[in-house]
Amino acid sequence: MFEGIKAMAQGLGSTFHALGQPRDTIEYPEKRREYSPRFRGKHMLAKDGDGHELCVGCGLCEAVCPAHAIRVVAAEAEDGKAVSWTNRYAVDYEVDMIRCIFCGMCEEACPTNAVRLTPFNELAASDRLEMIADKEELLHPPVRK
Amino acid sequence: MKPEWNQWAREFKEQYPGANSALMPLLHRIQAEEGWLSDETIHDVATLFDLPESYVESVASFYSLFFRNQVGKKVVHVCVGLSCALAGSDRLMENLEHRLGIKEGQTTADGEYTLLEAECLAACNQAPVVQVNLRYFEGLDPERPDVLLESSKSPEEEVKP
Amino acid sequence: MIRLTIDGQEVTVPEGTMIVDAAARLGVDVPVYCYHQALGPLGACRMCLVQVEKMPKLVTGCTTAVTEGMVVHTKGGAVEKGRKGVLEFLLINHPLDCPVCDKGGECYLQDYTFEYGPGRGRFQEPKIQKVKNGPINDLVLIDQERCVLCQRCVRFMGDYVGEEQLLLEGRGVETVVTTVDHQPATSQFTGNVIDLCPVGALLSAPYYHKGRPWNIDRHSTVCPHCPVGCSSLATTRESHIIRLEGRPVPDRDWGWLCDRGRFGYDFGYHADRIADSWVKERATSAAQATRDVAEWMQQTNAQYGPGSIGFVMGGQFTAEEAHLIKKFAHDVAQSDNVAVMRNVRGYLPAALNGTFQDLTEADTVVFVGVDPYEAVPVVHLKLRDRLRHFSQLKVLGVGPRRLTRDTMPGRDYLVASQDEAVFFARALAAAAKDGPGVQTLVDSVRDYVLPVSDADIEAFGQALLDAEHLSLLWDGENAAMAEVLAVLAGLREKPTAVLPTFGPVNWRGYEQAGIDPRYDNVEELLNKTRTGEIRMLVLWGADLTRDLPDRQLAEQALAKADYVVSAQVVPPLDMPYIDALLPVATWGEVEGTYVNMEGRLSIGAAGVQPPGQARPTRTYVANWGRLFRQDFGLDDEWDPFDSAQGDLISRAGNNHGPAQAVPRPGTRDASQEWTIIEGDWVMENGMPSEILEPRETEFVARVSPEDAARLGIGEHGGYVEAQTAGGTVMIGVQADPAIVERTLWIPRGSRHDWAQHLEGLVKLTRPEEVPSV
Repeated sequence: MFEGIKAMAQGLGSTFHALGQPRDTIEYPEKRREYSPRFRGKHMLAKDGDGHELCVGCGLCEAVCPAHAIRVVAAEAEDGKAVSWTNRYAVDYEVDMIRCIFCGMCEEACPTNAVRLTPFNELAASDRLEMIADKEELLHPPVRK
Repeated sequence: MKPEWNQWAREFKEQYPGANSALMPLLHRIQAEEGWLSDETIHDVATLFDLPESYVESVASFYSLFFRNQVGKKVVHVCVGLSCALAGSDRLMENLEHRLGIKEGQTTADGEYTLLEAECLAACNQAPVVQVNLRYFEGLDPERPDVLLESSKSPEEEVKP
Repeated sequence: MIRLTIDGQEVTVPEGTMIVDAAARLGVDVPVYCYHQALGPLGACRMCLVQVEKMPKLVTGCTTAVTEGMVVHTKGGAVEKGRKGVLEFLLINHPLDCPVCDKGGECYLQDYTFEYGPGRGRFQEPKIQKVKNGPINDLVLIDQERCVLCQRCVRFMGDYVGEEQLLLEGRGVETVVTTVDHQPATSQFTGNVIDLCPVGALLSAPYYHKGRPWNIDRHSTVCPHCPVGCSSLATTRESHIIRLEGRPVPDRDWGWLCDRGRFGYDFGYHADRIADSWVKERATSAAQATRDVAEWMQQTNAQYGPGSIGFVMGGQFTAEEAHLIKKFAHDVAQSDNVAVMRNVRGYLPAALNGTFQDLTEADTVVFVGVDPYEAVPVVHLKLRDRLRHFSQLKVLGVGPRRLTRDTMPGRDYLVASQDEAVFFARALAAAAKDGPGVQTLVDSVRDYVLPVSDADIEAFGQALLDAEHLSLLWDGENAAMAEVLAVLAGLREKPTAVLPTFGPVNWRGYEQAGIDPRYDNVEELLNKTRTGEIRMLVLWGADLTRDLPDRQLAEQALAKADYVVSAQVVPPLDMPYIDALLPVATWGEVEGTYVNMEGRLSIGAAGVQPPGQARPTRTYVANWGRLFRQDFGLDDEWDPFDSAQGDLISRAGNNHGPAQAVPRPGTRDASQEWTIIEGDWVMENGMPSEILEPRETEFVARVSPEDAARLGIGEHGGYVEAQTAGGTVMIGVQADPAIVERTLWIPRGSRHDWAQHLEGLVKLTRPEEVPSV
């Protein structure tokens, strides 16, 4: 019996010891961790100072993507209705966030610096389709709280 | 097409081995009369020599002394070659533009002057150089465009091709 | 033959070969922009600099012919430095906008810069700005900033096609490629400059910004628009064909396409495409329509016995599909009434059928009723190629209109379509009096009056006999020509080749599949339908009212049949008679064999899904077989290549019997002021195209310029009133100097309904009111 009490005391001892230690977990979502500034999360499509999209729909990100997660459909902008800074723009731009392996090759391949990986990493959905980020979504990147 | 063009075409054809080589003299001759070469002129010349229109157009657009747009009585070519640029041809051009009230490539409203750039006119020792029609005016003072305009007025010194 | 050394390897090539071609034989790649084997050397781009021993400077490999014992180095410091310099110069004013350039990824400027070029340019001054995406015409765009002035396009249009619609304008860095007077280029061959352009300067307008090399698939196929069947590459993306390119075949074909073929690929997803099944004018499911048709077939067979169903093949189906229809008809539907839809009465036995090789060797070419520029445009280019190499090429035209043109000069013999055979027969009789069969030919037409003088007739006959290598193009309008051609081939000991230009495009393939393609066959089938022997018609791509020369027969047969089933890609003119309209998969959606006008088998690849409920022929016949509860051996693998020699159909057989007399043409009604003639025109082959709309005209009929002036028709055409036996119709007409006076030319198989309603044309008059277009 003494042995039992001793074991229990030992166990409780480490519990009470741990109670006084600083915690490893955080109270997500009220609190968030700091990541490295180079962390690669969800994509975004950037615009220039005049509000024109930087993406010209060249498809190099699509070509370089090792996971085939990107689909780009380009089109010619009508006269006077420029979407990007040139007459070619991406009419469809989709990233399949399930397939994406966040390697950042798209960002590196982009000749206009339009596609960028944000630190945003809260990727969850109850539907697979919701995990495909379309162009609208990518143009308005979520801000990490 | 003017009736005399036929005659000229025939004359030039006799002087040269082929229609290709007789083309430039005829274009010069017509331009001397008409002042410039219109699309219709190009078409007519092509018909006269039985050459493709595209060929005549290529030739006419290649040489800077064939004018494909209406020009004034005096075509002022300001040399922008290296020596002239160093001697202030850009200032000269600015002053001429200001004086004539037109930009490079334009013609004055009275149809008197057309102002154009020219690549090196090969008179670098006398830079800056301006060619008015076919006559050279050398060693000009960039700040005094009037001198050029005054001295180029005497028509008897005109040189025609 | 000349022996030389290139990069240490010895090679023997014919005299006159250029260094780049000799190097290519060894697999040594010398970069070039301006040089193209079809266009010849120019030396404009300087990209192909190579070092030749004992020559003081680098030389251009494309303009330097090989000489005996020459030692060439295509690699090494001097060559690399030279190429680097050339590329740096070419790129001085290049906008470097590869990300937005359609050529990006398939561009020689990219490739060579990557391989040979400098990492960066030293030129920091602003680049010269020129026109971007300016039009050559509605189908071809030019980006003058990207141009490297190789002049391939200018030389192609000028020297090769002979229509000088492109030119270099200006001088030095300001030189640009443009069109004459900045007007759109109108040639039928403008699209080829897109393939020819080694950089991103000339672009396809319908493909503009549509795809990139890594998100498209390319399928090797054949063009389905005319019997030439040009080898081509279809570019597909997301189940749409979005581009057609030429596919050169070494030593045989440069890969040229006409604009009709290059840009007419969109009929598969055109707004008019049939994607639903219709039974008795009501949309229904494909399964129900298939069941209904099977039921009708069973019912017809039960009631009227075997042979009561007639099948007519038309359209652009593959030979395999034709075989399936034939097999289904025989094994399941118990009918041997299977015919090929024809729009002319002529038929050419395979034994007489020449190949395109004959065109490249011909010294005399005869156009019988056909203007190849309009009917089979790429044949015109092949003849242009021949003309470039052999300027003495004799071109003769025989038909009711002028068939030669500025780019294919020759002599025209103007005789009515019905007199063509008589003209040939009489010409042969005059030139070779004792030739075998010749006198029989002219038996009944010795005194027939022709509008050509006897001297001319004899001269023509002599020209036919004297030709070293005779090639004829035949439109099939005059059926008696087949007899004449057979006799002609028998008379001549030298090569004689006939190339049929009539359709349907794959009629030779249908013939290989075992269906008799003769006009008599389809006529007999329809006659049987008219008399009630055949009770049900299954039209597989065939449009009787549009195509059959005897429109009355077509209408009577359609009206008489109990059931008319029509499998179509676009709505046919037969529409009012059709009981069931079945959507069917077509070119680009089904893989199969096409046999072109030279009897060559090619495979058309399947690259996209058929739209809506359109299904392939195989699905239909398999389903019907199942509904008939009959297994008819779909696994019986018939292969069109089995009977072929290489990729050409067998020319054996078809032994020509004794010659038969050319029938005497009926006398024409002299009171008729106007003569109507028909011709093939590839733009009006019935397949709709949204892309080609800017090229299409409402004024498809043609009259002579004199008549046009009389009728008050302007430069681009206009409407006139045609008074015919059946009433007055408004027709769109334009002037064409090839048409003779008092003649109205209409395209065969036009999509315009009025083109079939001109029988008994009395006169054309200027309309009171012009309908708005």
